[in-house]
Amino acid sequence: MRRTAIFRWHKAQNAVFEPVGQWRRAYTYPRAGEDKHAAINREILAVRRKVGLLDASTLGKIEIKGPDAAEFLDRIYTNMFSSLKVGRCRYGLMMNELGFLIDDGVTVRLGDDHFLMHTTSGGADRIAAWLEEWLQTEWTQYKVFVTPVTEQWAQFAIAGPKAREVLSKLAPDFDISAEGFPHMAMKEGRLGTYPVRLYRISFSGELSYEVATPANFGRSVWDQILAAGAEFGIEAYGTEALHVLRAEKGYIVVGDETDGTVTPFDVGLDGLVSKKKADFIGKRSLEQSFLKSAGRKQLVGLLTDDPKEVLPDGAYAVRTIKDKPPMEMIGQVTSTYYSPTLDRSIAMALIEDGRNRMGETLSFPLEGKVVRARITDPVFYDKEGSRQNV
Amino acid sequence: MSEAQFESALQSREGPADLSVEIREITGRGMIDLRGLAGERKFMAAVKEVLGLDLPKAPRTSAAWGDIQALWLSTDQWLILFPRAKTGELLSALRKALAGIHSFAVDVSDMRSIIRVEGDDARMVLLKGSTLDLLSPEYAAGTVRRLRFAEIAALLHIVSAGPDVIDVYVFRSYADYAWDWFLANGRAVAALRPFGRQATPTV
Repeated sequence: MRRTAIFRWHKAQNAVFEPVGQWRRAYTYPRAGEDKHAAINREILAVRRKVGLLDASTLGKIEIKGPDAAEFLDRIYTNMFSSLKVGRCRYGLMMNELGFLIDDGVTVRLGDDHFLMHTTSGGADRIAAWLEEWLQTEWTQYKVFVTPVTEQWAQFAIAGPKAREVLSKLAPDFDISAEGFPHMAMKEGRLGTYPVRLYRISFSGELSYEVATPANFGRSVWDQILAAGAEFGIEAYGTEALHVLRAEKGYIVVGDETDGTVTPFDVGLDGLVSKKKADFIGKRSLEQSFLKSAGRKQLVGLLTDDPKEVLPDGAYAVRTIKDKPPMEMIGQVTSTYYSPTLDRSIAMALIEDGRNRMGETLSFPLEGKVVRARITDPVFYDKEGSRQNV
Repeated sequence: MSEAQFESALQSREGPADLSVEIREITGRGMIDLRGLAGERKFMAAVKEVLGLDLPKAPRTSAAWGDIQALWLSTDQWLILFPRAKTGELLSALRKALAGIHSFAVDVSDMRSIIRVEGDDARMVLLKGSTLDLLSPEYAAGTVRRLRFAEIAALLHIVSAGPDVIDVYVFRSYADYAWDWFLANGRAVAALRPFGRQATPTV
């Protein structure tokens, strides 16, 4: 079982833990008299209204360096990284040779020939091995070194409208103003006496920073952030709040919205598949007729007719309701939550020809009842993205 | 904010009692992960200029110069060990000397936890978590071995032999797990009593 530098704090707060890969991550922090649902809702609203703090240390981190690093990343990701400026971050999608999504995350350019890749928590080792395999067996001409550094860093997200105020109380030795440190920027420096890398990236849609500090300083920096955030009502939030926050924004999780048979087109991320690059892993596979054909399952949002009804994860939509099975299935729920922000249930689903069915109402036969839900855009909250650009 | 507060992974763990070996965490060590091509003379020379040693090329070996050590990790990767306070100085010296040479040096001082195992029974305890024959003369002082130990990734460094001092490196997140493993498997009452080497049966 793997523990982050903050594990003992989580434990002392009576956190509920969940397994993520071999890690145990804090799922939520119920207070006295609170059940898990109440705790999760409180944490989500703290992020939306004030500011929240997440232990994101488990995120995979891989440093990539060498004269061919940029070209290497252009081949690994579906989108372009050679055009990324030093000190900037970019979200990237990774496919396997079959054109199916295998990982995603934010990659940062630390120097002309030097990048830091973030992977999913569970994908860290697998992706490091994947990069090595391509370098050692296929692209042996590339001068690139790949060094996994996941455990060197403790990393925390400070997310919410008050995030910048909390950060400024921690005495950064660099400019964190909206203009001086825009969305998707990265800076290295100090918070007080602590060496940090600070990324302005957001998985919640709020104004958000991720602070990385060497792991042995992690616990102390965590405590300092909580102390600095106290006057703004900062609350620690767990992985379930994290997931609801991202679902409200329609962000995918590789492994929830994808199951190894899902392409970037299927989840509506066509814009992240480069049309300019000569080649990248999976490019040719995406040209196969059956990956381009109509009728593939596509990512959509779902709003149940009864806003209090939360669909079960994996629930099937059927073409026509019959008295008893078998019924023809046309897709399934991939993520489903109660959203305290919107005070109603929300869900994401992969539905046959989904994007052409906007506004259509689907039926989900469950034990003893049928739940009906309308197909919508999967971005449920702040479609303009105005909240993170402040 | 005041002085930066340092907290190692095993700082709050109780000192073990009734073990057949002594175990303790080593926290004052800085570590740099160094990549480069052993066949490239310029690279080897630049490293020597900074560290004062020739990087070991033979698998599972190590080299030392003063308070700096280099452990072989793979054909193009070494773990450099030194007093933690020197981290910034060494890292920038390495990067400067290696400018323009295909290489990569990165600070990984916080990435691994080190458990030092000492005592006559050290190898016998480690045997319980490994398929290696650690009693073999192959595992002499200076040997470095990456292995699957107690079901996790680890690195053994035989610091000295007879009396045995062996450093076990595990990724930081597994530090508690590894510590608990030693508490459970290192107990004096659970010591192994080997039969010794068996004669090869005649066919």
